[in-house]
Amino acid sequence: MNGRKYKKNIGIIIYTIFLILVLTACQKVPDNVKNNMNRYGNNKLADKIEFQYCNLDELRNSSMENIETADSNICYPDKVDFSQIDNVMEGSFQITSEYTNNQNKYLQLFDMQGVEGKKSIGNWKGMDGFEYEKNEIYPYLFIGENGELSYVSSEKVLDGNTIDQTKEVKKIYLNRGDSINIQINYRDGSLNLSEEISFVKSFIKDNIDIGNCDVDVRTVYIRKDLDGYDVVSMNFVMKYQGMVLDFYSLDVGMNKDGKMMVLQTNRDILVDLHEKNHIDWIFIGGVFQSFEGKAVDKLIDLQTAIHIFEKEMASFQEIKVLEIIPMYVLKPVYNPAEEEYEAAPGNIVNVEPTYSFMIECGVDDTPTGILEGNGVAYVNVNMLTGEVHTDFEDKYFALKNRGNNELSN
Amino acid sequence: MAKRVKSFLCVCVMLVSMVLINPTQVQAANVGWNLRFIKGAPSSENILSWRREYITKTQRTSLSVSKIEGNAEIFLYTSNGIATIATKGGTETSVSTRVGIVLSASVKFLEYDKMTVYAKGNLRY
Repeated sequence: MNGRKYKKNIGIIIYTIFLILVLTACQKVPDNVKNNMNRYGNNKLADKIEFQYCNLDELRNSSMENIETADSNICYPDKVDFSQIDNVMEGSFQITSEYTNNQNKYLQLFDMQGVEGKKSIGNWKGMDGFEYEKNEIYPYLFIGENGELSYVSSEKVLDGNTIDQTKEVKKIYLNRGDSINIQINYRDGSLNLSEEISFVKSFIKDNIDIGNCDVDVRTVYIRKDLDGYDVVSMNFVMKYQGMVLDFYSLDVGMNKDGKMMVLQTNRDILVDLHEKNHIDWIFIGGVFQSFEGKAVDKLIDLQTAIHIFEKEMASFQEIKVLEIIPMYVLKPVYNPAEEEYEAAPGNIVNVEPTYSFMIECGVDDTPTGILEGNGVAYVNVNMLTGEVHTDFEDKYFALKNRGNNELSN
Repeated sequence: MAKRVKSFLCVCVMLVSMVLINPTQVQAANVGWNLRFIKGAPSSENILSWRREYITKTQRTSLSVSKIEGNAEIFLYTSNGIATIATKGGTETSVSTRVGIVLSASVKFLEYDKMTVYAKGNLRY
Protein backbone atom coordinates (compact mmCIF):
# COMPACT_ATOMS: atom_id res chain seq x y z
CA MET A 1 0.00 0.00 0.00
CA ASN A 2 2.84 2.37 1.05
CA GLY A 3 4.74 1.33 -2.10
CA ARG A 4 1.85 2.34 -4.36
CA LYS A 5 1.58 5.79 -2.61
CA TYR A 6 5.35 6.31 -3.00
CA LYS A 7 5.17 5.50 -6.74
CA LYS A 8 2.25 7.92 -7.13
CA ASN A 9 4.25 10.75 -5.40
CA ILE A 10 7.29 10.09 -7.59
CA GLY A 11 5.04 10.32 -10.65
CA ILE A 12 3.67 13.70 -9.53
CA ILE A 13 7.20 15.05 -8.88
CA ILE A 14 8.48 13.93 -12.32
CA TYR A 15 5.42 15.43 -14.02
CA THR A 16 5.93 18.75 -12.15
CA ILE A 17 9.62 18.92 -13.11
CA PHE A 18 8.72 18.15 -16.73
CA LEU A 19 6.09 20.92 -16.71
CA ILE A 20 8.58 23.47 -15.26
CA LEU A 21 11.17 22.55 -17.89
CA VAL A 22 8.68 22.89 -20.74
CA LEU A 23 7.38 26.24 -19.50
CA THR A 24 10.84 27.79 -18.92
CA ALA A 25 12.09 26.55 -22.29
CA CYS A 26 9.22 28.36 -23.97
CA GLN A 27 10.01 31.70 -22.24
CA LYS A 28 10.58 34.45 -24.75
CA VAL A 29 14.21 35.66 -25.01
CA PRO A 30 14.30 39.25 -23.74
CA ASP A 31 14.56 41.77 -26.61
CA ASN A 32 17.81 43.32 -25.42
CA VAL A 33 19.48 39.90 -25.29
CA LYS A 34 18.12 39.07 -28.73
CA ASN A 35 19.50 42.31 -30.14
CA ASN A 36 22.88 41.65 -28.63
CA MET A 37 22.92 38.11 -29.99
CA ASN A 38 22.69 39.50 -33.50
CA ARG A 39 25.81 41.51 -32.78
CA TYR A 40 27.89 38.64 -31.47
CA GLY A 41 29.03 37.99 -35.01
CA ASN A 42 32.01 35.66 -35.19
CA ASN A 43 31.73 34.59 -31.61
CA LYS A 44 29.76 31.36 -31.93
CA LEU A 45 30.40 30.54 -28.30
CA ALA A 46 29.23 33.80 -26.78
CA ASP A 47 25.76 32.40 -26.10
CA LYS A 48 27.36 29.88 -23.73
CA ILE A 49 28.96 32.58 -21.60
CA GLU A 50 27.18 34.57 -18.96
CA PHE A 51 28.11 38.20 -19.49
CA GLN A 52 29.06 40.27 -16.45
CA TYR A 53 29.26 44.03 -16.82
CA CYS A 54 31.19 46.79 -15.10
CA ASN A 55 31.18 50.57 -15.08
CA LEU A 56 34.10 52.83 -15.97
CA ASP A 57 35.46 53.03 -12.42
CA GLU A 58 35.42 49.26 -12.09
CA LEU A 59 37.13 48.95 -15.48
CA ARG A 60 39.91 51.32 -14.37
CA ASN A 61 40.47 49.18 -11.28
CA SER A 62 40.60 45.90 -13.21
CA SER A 63 43.39 43.63 -12.06
CA MET A 64 44.66 40.17 -12.93
CA GLU A 65 44.77 39.23 -9.25
CA ASN A 66 41.11 38.29 -8.97
CA ILE A 67 40.77 36.82 -12.45
CA GLU A 68 39.86 33.16 -12.80
CA THR A 69 41.43 31.42 -15.76
CA ALA A 70 40.46 27.96 -16.85
CA ASP A 71 42.92 27.13 -19.60
CA SER A 72 46.35 26.12 -18.27
CA ASN A 73 47.82 26.26 -21.78
CA ILE A 74 47.41 30.03 -21.83
CA CYS A 75 50.03 32.18 -20.16
CA TYR A 76 48.69 35.58 -19.13
CA PRO A 77 50.52 38.77 -18.18
CA ASP A 78 50.80 39.32 -14.41
CA LYS A 79 49.33 42.80 -14.60
CA VAL A 80 46.93 44.98 -16.55
CA ASP A 81 46.78 48.74 -16.14
CA PHE A 82 43.56 50.37 -17.26
CA SER A 83 43.89 53.30 -14.84
CA GLN A 84 44.73 55.83 -17.57
CA ILE A 85 41.32 55.61 -19.23
CA ASP A 86 39.36 58.86 -18.82
CA ASN A 87 36.34 57.76 -20.85
CA VAL A 88 35.17 54.89 -23.01
CA MET A 89 33.38 56.18 -26.08
CA GLU A 90 31.17 54.81 -28.82
CA GLY A 91 31.22 56.87 -32.02
CA SER A 92 33.46 57.91 -34.87
CA PHE A 93 36.44 60.01 -35.83
CA GLN A 94 36.63 62.17 -38.91
CA ILE A 95 39.93 62.16 -40.79
CA THR A 96 41.48 65.59 -41.18
CA SER A 97 41.42 67.51 -44.49
CA GLU A 98 43.79 70.05 -46.06
CA TYR A 99 46.66 68.98 -43.81
CA THR A 100 49.07 70.25 -46.48
CA ASN A 101 48.23 73.78 -45.29
CA ASN A 102 50.86 73.00 -42.64
CA GLN A 103 53.57 72.72 -45.28
CA ASN A 104 55.56 75.87 -44.38
CA LYS A 105 55.58 74.91 -40.71
CA TYR A 106 56.94 71.44 -41.50
CA LEU A 107 59.46 72.65 -44.09
CA GLN A 108 60.88 74.95 -41.43
CA LEU A 109 60.77 72.26 -38.76
CA PHE A 110 62.81 69.87 -40.90
CA ASP A 111 65.14 72.58 -42.22
CA MET A 112 63.84 72.33 -45.77
CA GLN A 113 62.73 75.93 -46.29
CA GLY A 114 62.50 76.99 -49.90
CA VAL A 115 62.23 73.44 -51.26
CA GLU A 116 59.60 73.34 -53.98
CA GLY A 117 56.91 70.74 -53.40
CA LYS A 118 55.52 68.59 -56.16
CA LYS A 119 51.93 67.40 -56.15
CA SER A 120 51.83 63.68 -55.50
CA ILE A 121 48.74 61.99 -56.89
CA GLY A 122 47.86 58.84 -55.01
CA ASN A 123 46.83 55.52 -56.49
CA TRP A 124 43.41 55.72 -54.87
CA LYS A 125 40.97 58.62 -54.62
CA GLY A 126 41.89 60.75 -51.59
CA MET A 127 45.50 59.63 -51.33
CA ASP A 128 47.00 62.91 -52.58
CA GLY A 129 49.63 65.10 -51.01
CA PHE A 130 52.92 66.92 -51.64
CA GLU A 131 56.46 65.58 -51.82
CA TYR A 132 59.56 67.64 -51.10
CA GLU A 133 63.06 66.48 -52.03
CA LYS A 134 66.03 68.68 -51.18
CA ASN A 135 68.94 66.95 -52.90
CA GLU A 136 67.27 64.73 -55.49
CA ILE A 137 65.70 62.64 -52.74
CA TYR A 138 67.01 63.34 -49.24
CA PRO A 139 66.08 65.02 -47.01
CA TYR A 140 62.62 63.88 -48.05
CA LEU A 141 59.22 65.02 -46.82
CA PHE A 142 55.76 63.84 -47.76
CA ILE A 143 52.64 65.54 -46.42
CA GLY A 144 49.27 63.99 -47.24
CA GLU A 145 45.97 65.89 -47.24
CA ASN A 146 44.79 63.37 -44.63
CA GLY A 147 47.60 64.02 -42.17
CA GLU A 148 49.88 61.24 -43.33
CA LEU A 149 53.46 62.43 -42.96
CA SER A 150 56.88 60.99 -43.67
CA TYR A 151 60.19 62.78 -43.12
CA VAL A 152 63.47 61.00 -43.92
CA SER A 153 66.71 62.87 -43.19
CA SER A 154 69.05 60.77 -45.34
CA GLU A 155 69.37 57.52 -47.26
CA LYS A 156 71.09 55.75 -44.34
CA VAL A 157 67.84 55.87 -42.36
CA LEU A 158 66.05 53.38 -44.63
CA ASP A 159 69.10 51.36 -45.56
CA GLY A 160 69.11 48.20 -43.48
CA ASN A 161 72.70 47.59 -44.58
CA THR A 162 73.91 50.29 -42.18
CA ILE A 163 72.64 48.19 -39.24
CA ASP A 164 74.69 45.36 -37.72
CA GLN A 165 72.17 42.56 -38.14
CA THR A 166 74.31 40.08 -36.24
CA LYS A 167 73.62 42.02 -33.03
CA GLU A 168 70.45 41.42 -31.06
CA VAL A 169 67.80 44.16 -31.18
CA LYS A 170 67.11 45.46 -27.67
CA LYS A 171 63.35 45.75 -27.30
CA ILE A 172 61.84 47.85 -24.53
CA TYR A 173 58.10 47.61 -23.83
CA LEU A 174 57.10 50.34 -21.44
CA ASN A 175 53.67 48.81 -20.74
CA ARG A 176 55.35 45.61 -19.58
CA GLY A 177 57.42 47.45 -16.99
CA ASP A 178 60.74 47.53 -18.90
CA SER A 179 63.14 50.17 -17.64
CA ILE A 180 64.02 53.22 -19.72
CA ASN A 181 66.83 54.19 -17.42
CA ILE A 182 69.57 53.06 -19.78
CA GLN A 183 72.35 54.85 -21.60
CA ILE A 184 72.21 55.40 -25.34
CA ASN A 185 75.54 55.71 -27.12
CA TYR A 186 75.08 57.61 -30.36
CA ARG A 187 77.83 58.50 -32.78
CA ASP A 188 77.76 62.10 -31.50
CA GLY A 189 77.55 61.37 -27.77
CA SER A 190 75.58 59.65 -25.02
CA LEU A 191 72.42 60.35 -23.08
CA ASN A 192 69.80 58.55 -21.02
CA LEU A 193 66.92 56.93 -22.92
CA SER A 194 64.36 58.61 -20.65
CA GLU A 195 65.71 62.03 -21.74
CA GLU A 196 65.51 61.02 -25.39
CA ILE A 197 61.92 59.85 -24.99
CA SER A 198 61.01 63.18 -23.34
CA PHE A 199 62.66 65.03 -26.22
CA VAL A 200 60.73 63.12 -28.89
CA LYS A 201 57.43 63.39 -27.01
CA SER A 202 57.85 67.16 -26.70
CA PHE A 203 58.93 67.38 -30.33
CA ILE A 204 55.70 65.72 -31.43
CA LYS A 205 53.43 67.61 -29.02
CA ASP A 206 54.96 71.02 -29.73
CA ASN A 207 55.45 70.75 -33.47
CA ILE A 208 53.18 68.16 -35.08
CA ASP A 209 49.46 68.66 -35.58
CA ILE A 210 47.96 65.37 -34.35
CA GLY A 211 44.35 66.56 -34.21
CA ASN A 212 42.33 65.82 -31.12
CA CYS A 213 44.44 62.90 -29.91
CA ASP A 214 47.24 62.64 -27.40
CA VAL A 215 50.44 60.58 -27.80
CA ASP A 216 52.36 58.25 -25.55
CA VAL A 217 55.48 56.20 -26.11
CA ARG A 218 54.86 52.46 -26.21
CA THR A 219 57.93 50.65 -27.50
CA VAL A 220 61.61 51.39 -28.07
CA TYR A 221 64.00 49.29 -30.18
CA ILE A 222 67.75 49.86 -29.96
CA ARG A 223 69.96 48.52 -32.75
CA LYS A 224 73.69 48.80 -33.38
CA ASP A 225 75.07 50.33 -36.55
CA LEU A 226 78.14 48.84 -38.25
CA ASP A 227 80.47 50.96 -36.08
CA GLY A 228 78.79 49.81 -32.86
CA TYR A 229 76.82 53.01 -32.18
CA ASP A 230 73.16 52.92 -31.15
CA VAL A 231 70.24 53.59 -33.49
CA VAL A 232 66.97 54.16 -31.66
CA SER A 233 63.44 53.49 -32.94
CA MET A 234 60.36 54.59 -30.99
CA ASN A 235 56.71 53.80 -31.44
CA PHE A 236 54.20 56.33 -30.13
CA VAL A 237 50.56 55.35 -29.85
CA MET A 238 47.71 57.81 -30.23
CA LYS A 239 45.18 58.09 -27.42
CA TYR A 240 41.72 59.59 -27.17
CA GLN A 241 40.62 60.47 -23.64
CA GLY A 242 43.17 58.06 -22.26
CA MET A 243 42.25 55.08 -24.44
CA VAL A 244 44.74 53.81 -27.04
CA LEU A 245 43.84 53.78 -30.74
CA ASP A 246 44.58 50.52 -32.53
CA PHE A 247 48.28 50.56 -33.46
CA TYR A 248 48.91 46.99 -34.63
CA SER A 249 45.93 45.18 -36.06
CA LEU A 250 44.73 45.26 -39.64
CA ASP A 251 42.04 43.39 -41.50
CA VAL A 252 41.52 43.31 -45.23
CA GLY A 253 38.50 41.31 -46.31
CA MET A 254 35.29 41.16 -48.24
CA ASN A 255 32.46 43.63 -47.57
CA LYS A 256 28.71 42.94 -48.02
CA ASP A 257 28.90 43.87 -51.73
CA GLY A 258 31.69 41.42 -52.40
CA LYS A 259 34.37 44.12 -52.66
CA MET A 260 37.71 43.71 -50.96
CA MET A 261 38.25 46.48 -48.48
CA VAL A 262 40.13 47.52 -45.38
CA LEU A 263 37.75 46.46 -42.62
CA GLN A 264 40.01 47.45 -39.77
CA THR A 265 42.93 49.88 -39.72
CA ASN A 266 45.45 51.40 -37.30
CA ARG A 267 47.33 54.60 -36.47
CA ASP A 268 50.64 55.26 -34.79
CA ILE A 269 53.74 57.43 -34.95
CA LEU A 270 57.15 55.92 -35.66
CA VAL A 271 60.43 57.71 -35.07
CA ASP A 272 64.09 56.79 -35.70
CA LEU A 273 67.09 58.62 -34.24
CA HIS A 274 70.73 58.16 -35.24
CA GLU A 275 72.04 61.16 -33.28
CA LYS A 276 71.27 62.88 -29.97
CA ASN A 277 67.98 64.79 -30.00
CA HIS A 278 67.74 64.56 -33.76
CA ILE A 279 64.75 63.11 -35.59
CA ASP A 280 66.04 61.18 -38.59
CA TRP A 281 62.74 59.61 -39.57
CA ILE A 282 59.19 60.24 -38.52
CA PHE A 283 56.09 58.60 -39.91
CA ILE A 284 52.52 59.48 -38.99
CA GLY A 285 49.83 57.22 -40.41
CA GLY A 286 47.18 59.99 -40.56
CA VAL A 287 45.40 62.40 -38.26
CA PHE A 288 41.86 62.61 -36.89
CA GLN A 289 40.42 66.09 -36.51
CA SER A 290 37.16 65.48 -34.63
CA PHE A 291 35.19 62.88 -32.72
CA GLU A 292 31.44 62.45 -32.48
CA GLY A 293 29.89 59.99 -30.09
CA LYS A 294 28.88 59.29 -26.54
CA ALA A 295 30.48 57.90 -23.43
CA VAL A 296 29.44 54.40 -22.37
CA ASP A 297 29.41 53.20 -18.80
CA LYS A 298 28.23 49.61 -19.12
CA LEU A 299 31.07 47.44 -20.33
CA ILE A 300 31.72 43.71 -20.41
CA ASP A 301 34.13 43.14 -17.55
CA LEU A 302 37.64 41.73 -17.88
CA GLN A 303 36.66 38.37 -16.37
CA THR A 304 33.96 37.88 -19.02
CA ALA A 305 36.36 38.98 -21.77
CA ILE A 306 38.82 36.33 -20.57
CA HIS A 307 36.11 33.65 -20.62
CA ILE A 308 35.24 34.63 -24.19
CA PHE A 309 38.92 34.63 -25.15
CA GLU A 310 39.50 31.19 -23.62
CA LYS A 311 36.57 29.70 -25.54
CA GLU A 312 38.02 31.16 -28.73
CA MET A 313 41.47 29.74 -27.98
CA ALA A 314 40.28 26.28 -26.99
CA SER A 315 41.94 24.51 -29.93
CA PHE A 316 45.37 26.08 -29.41
CA GLN A 317 48.23 24.91 -27.26
CA GLU A 318 50.73 27.01 -25.34
CA ILE A 319 49.56 30.50 -26.11
CA LYS A 320 51.37 33.45 -24.55
CA VAL A 321 49.30 36.59 -24.06
CA LEU A 322 51.83 39.42 -23.98
CA GLU A 323 49.37 42.14 -23.02
CA ILE A 324 45.66 42.81 -22.62
CA ILE A 325 45.16 46.29 -24.02
CA PRO A 326 41.99 48.38 -23.74
CA MET A 327 41.95 49.83 -27.23
CA TYR A 328 39.73 51.45 -29.86
CA VAL A 329 39.47 49.26 -32.94
CA LEU A 330 39.24 51.54 -36.00
CA LYS A 331 36.76 50.61 -38.73
CA PRO A 332 36.86 52.85 -41.81
CA VAL A 333 33.68 53.82 -43.65
CA TYR A 334 34.33 54.22 -47.38
CA ASN A 335 33.46 52.97 -50.83
CA PRO A 336 36.07 50.62 -52.31
CA ALA A 337 33.94 50.23 -55.45
CA GLU A 338 34.83 53.84 -56.30
CA GLU A 339 38.54 53.21 -55.84
CA GLU A 340 38.41 55.31 -52.70
CA TYR A 341 41.24 55.34 -50.16
CA GLU A 342 40.01 54.22 -46.76
CA ALA A 343 41.95 57.05 -45.12
CA ALA A 344 40.80 59.78 -47.53
CA PRO A 345 40.47 63.30 -46.07
CA GLY A 346 37.12 63.85 -44.35
CA ASN A 347 36.28 60.13 -44.20
CA ILE A 348 34.64 58.62 -41.14
CA VAL A 349 36.28 55.93 -39.02
CA ASN A 350 34.09 54.17 -36.46
CA VAL A 351 35.61 53.24 -33.14
CA GLU A 352 34.83 50.16 -31.08
CA PRO A 353 36.12 49.84 -27.50
CA THR A 354 37.87 46.50 -27.24
CA TYR A 355 39.94 44.28 -25.01
CA SER A 356 42.82 43.43 -27.31
CA PHE A 357 44.67 40.23 -26.41
CA MET A 358 48.14 40.57 -27.95
CA ILE A 359 49.60 37.12 -28.60
CA GLU A 360 53.21 36.24 -29.28
CA CYS A 361 53.62 34.46 -32.61
CA GLY A 362 56.94 35.39 -34.14
CA VAL A 363 59.93 37.68 -34.18
CA ASP A 364 60.36 40.75 -36.32
CA ASP A 365 63.93 42.01 -36.39
CA THR A 366 63.52 44.24 -39.45
CA PRO A 367 66.49 46.64 -39.39
CA THR A 368 64.37 49.80 -39.65
CA GLY A 369 61.50 51.14 -37.55
CA ILE A 370 59.13 49.18 -35.33
CA LEU A 371 56.57 46.95 -36.98
CA GLU A 372 55.06 45.36 -33.92
CA GLY A 373 52.15 43.74 -35.77
CA ASN A 374 54.56 41.39 -37.59
CA GLY A 375 55.49 39.50 -34.45
CA VAL A 376 52.10 39.20 -32.79
CA ALA A 377 48.56 38.09 -33.47
CA TYR A 378 45.46 39.61 -31.95
CA VAL A 379 42.17 38.49 -30.46
CA ASN A 380 39.92 41.50 -30.02
CA VAL A 381 36.89 41.19 -27.72
CA ASN A 382 34.39 44.03 -28.14
CA MET A 383 33.71 45.64 -24.74
CA LEU A 384 30.05 46.30 -25.60
CA THR A 385 28.92 43.19 -27.46
CA GLY A 386 31.48 40.48 -26.72
CA GLU A 387 32.05 40.04 -30.45
CA VAL A 388 35.41 38.46 -31.22
CA HIS A 389 37.71 39.28 -34.09
CA THR A 390 41.16 37.82 -34.75
CA ASP A 391 43.85 37.78 -37.41
CA PHE A 392 44.48 34.07 -36.92
CA GLU A 393 43.87 33.40 -40.58
CA ASP A 394 46.92 35.53 -41.39
CA LYS A 395 48.96 34.26 -38.45
CA TYR A 396 47.67 30.69 -38.17
CA PHE A 397 50.76 29.02 -39.51
CA ALA A 398 53.05 30.98 -37.19
CA LEU A 399 50.82 30.29 -34.18
CA LYS A 400 50.57 26.59 -34.83
CA ASN A 401 54.25 26.28 -35.53
CA ARG A 402 55.36 28.14 -32.41
CA GLY A 403 56.38 31.40 -33.94
CA ASN A 404 58.09 30.04 -37.02
CA ASN A 405 56.67 32.34 -39.65
CA GLU A 406 59.86 32.45 -41.65
CA LEU A 407 58.40 30.23 -44.35
CA SER A 408 56.21 33.05 -45.52
CA ASN A 409 58.80 35.77 -45.06
CA MET B 1 101.45 63.19 -71.26
CA ALA B 2 101.08 65.46 -68.21
CA LYS B 3 98.00 66.97 -69.87
CA ARG B 4 96.44 63.49 -70.22
CA VAL B 5 97.13 62.67 -66.58
CA LYS B 6 95.65 66.01 -65.56
CA SER B 7 92.48 65.33 -67.63
CA PHE B 8 92.20 61.84 -66.19
CA LEU B 9 92.50 63.18 -62.63
CA CYS B 10 89.87 65.85 -63.39
CA VAL B 11 87.41 63.20 -64.59
CA CYS B 12 88.11 61.09 -61.48
CA VAL B 13 87.51 64.08 -59.18
CA MET B 14 84.25 64.86 -61.00
CA LEU B 15 82.99 61.28 -60.70
CA VAL B 16 83.88 61.07 -57.00
CA SER B 17 82.17 64.45 -56.38
CA MET B 18 79.01 63.28 -58.14
CA VAL B 19 78.85 60.20 -55.97
CA LEU B 20 79.46 62.18 -52.78
CA ILE B 21 77.13 65.10 -53.51
CA ASN B 22 74.17 63.23 -54.99
CA PRO B 23 72.69 60.77 -52.58
CA THR B 24 71.42 57.70 -54.32
CA GLN B 25 68.13 56.06 -53.57
CA VAL B 26 68.29 53.14 -51.16
CA GLN B 27 68.18 49.79 -52.89
CA ALA B 28 64.72 48.22 -52.97
CA ALA B 29 64.10 45.25 -50.69
CA ASN B 30 62.58 41.96 -51.78
CA VAL B 31 60.59 39.49 -49.72
CA GLY B 32 58.94 36.31 -50.88
CA TRP B 33 55.54 35.01 -49.88
CA ASN B 34 54.07 31.50 -50.06
CA LEU B 35 50.53 30.19 -49.79
CA ARG B 36 49.52 26.56 -49.81
CA PHE B 37 46.54 24.30 -49.32
CA ILE B 38 47.44 20.63 -49.07
CA LYS B 39 44.53 18.27 -49.55
CA GLY B 40 44.23 15.87 -46.64
CA ALA B 41 46.96 17.53 -44.58
CA PRO B 42 46.30 18.86 -41.07
CA SER B 43 45.15 22.47 -41.08
CA SER B 44 48.39 23.54 -39.40
CA GLU B 45 50.17 22.76 -42.66
CA ASN B 46 48.03 25.14 -44.69
CA ILE B 47 48.90 28.79 -45.22
CA LEU B 48 45.81 30.44 -46.65
CA SER B 49 46.86 34.04 -46.22
CA TRP B 50 49.93 36.13 -45.55
CA ARG B 51 50.29 39.63 -44.14
CA ARG B 52 53.34 41.66 -43.17
CA GLU B 53 54.28 45.30 -42.72
CA TYR B 54 57.37 47.02 -44.10
CA ILE B 55 58.72 50.54 -44.42
CA THR B 56 59.01 51.68 -48.03
CA LYS B 57 62.57 52.26 -49.16
CA THR B 58 61.94 53.39 -52.73
CA GLN B 59 59.29 55.25 -54.70
CA ARG B 60 57.93 52.09 -56.31
CA THR B 61 56.17 49.07 -54.79
CA SER B 62 55.41 45.91 -56.71
CA LEU B 63 53.62 42.75 -55.71
CA SER B 64 53.85 39.74 -57.95
CA VAL B 65 52.70 36.15 -58.30
CA SER B 66 55.44 34.05 -59.81
CA LYS B 67 53.69 30.69 -59.74
CA ILE B 68 50.31 29.10 -59.03
CA GLU B 69 50.15 25.30 -59.05
CA GLY B 70 46.50 24.26 -59.10
CA ASN B 71 43.39 26.39 -59.50
CA ALA B 72 43.13 29.42 -57.30
CA GLU B 73 42.15 33.07 -57.19
CA ILE B 74 44.56 35.10 -55.13
CA PHE B 75 43.87 38.56 -53.76
CA LEU B 76 46.87 40.90 -53.65
CA TYR B 77 46.74 44.04 -51.53
CA THR B 78 49.11 46.77 -50.40
CA SER B 79 48.02 49.77 -48.37
CA ASN B 80 49.64 52.16 -50.89
CA GLY B 81 47.45 51.27 -53.84
CA ILE B 82 47.44 47.65 -54.96
CA ALA B 83 44.18 45.70 -54.84
CA THR B 84 43.99 43.08 -57.54
CA ILE B 85 43.15 39.44 -58.18
CA ALA B 86 45.55 36.98 -59.83
CA THR B 87 44.68 33.58 -61.27
CA LYS B 88 48.00 32.67 -62.85
CA GLY B 89 51.73 33.02 -62.32
CA GLY B 90 53.64 35.82 -63.99
CA THR B 91 51.24 38.50 -62.71
CA GLU B 92 52.81 41.66 -61.37
CA THR B 93 51.22 44.89 -60.19
CA SER B 94 53.26 47.92 -59.31
CA VAL B 95 52.47 51.42 -58.08
CA SER B 96 54.40 54.59 -57.34
CA THR B 97 54.64 55.36 -53.64
CA ARG B 98 56.11 57.61 -50.99
CA VAL B 99 59.34 56.89 -49.17
CA GLY B 100 59.43 56.03 -45.46
CA ILE B 101 55.78 55.09 -45.09
CA VAL B 102 54.46 51.93 -43.44
CA LEU B 103 53.33 49.50 -46.10
CA SER B 104 50.88 46.75 -45.20
CA ALA B 105 50.94 43.90 -47.69
CA SER B 106 48.39 41.11 -47.73
CA VAL B 107 47.98 38.07 -49.96
CA LYS B 108 45.21 35.52 -49.56
CA PHE B 109 43.35 32.78 -51.36
CA LEU B 110 39.94 34.04 -52.45
CA GLU B 111 38.99 30.76 -54.07
CA TYR B 112 40.70 27.41 -54.43
CA ASP B 113 39.27 24.12 -55.55
CA LYS B 114 40.12 22.16 -52.36
CA MET B 115 42.75 20.18 -54.23
CA THR B 116 46.40 20.78 -53.41
CA VAL B 117 47.36 24.32 -54.41
CA TYR B 118 50.69 26.09 -54.10
CA ALA B 119 51.29 29.75 -54.86
CA LYS B 120 54.28 31.98 -54.40
CA GLY B 121 55.41 35.44 -55.28
CA ASN B 122 57.35 38.47 -54.28
CA LEU B 123 56.97 41.91 -52.73
CA ARG B 124 59.43 44.60 -53.75
CA TYR B 125 59.36 47.86 -51.85
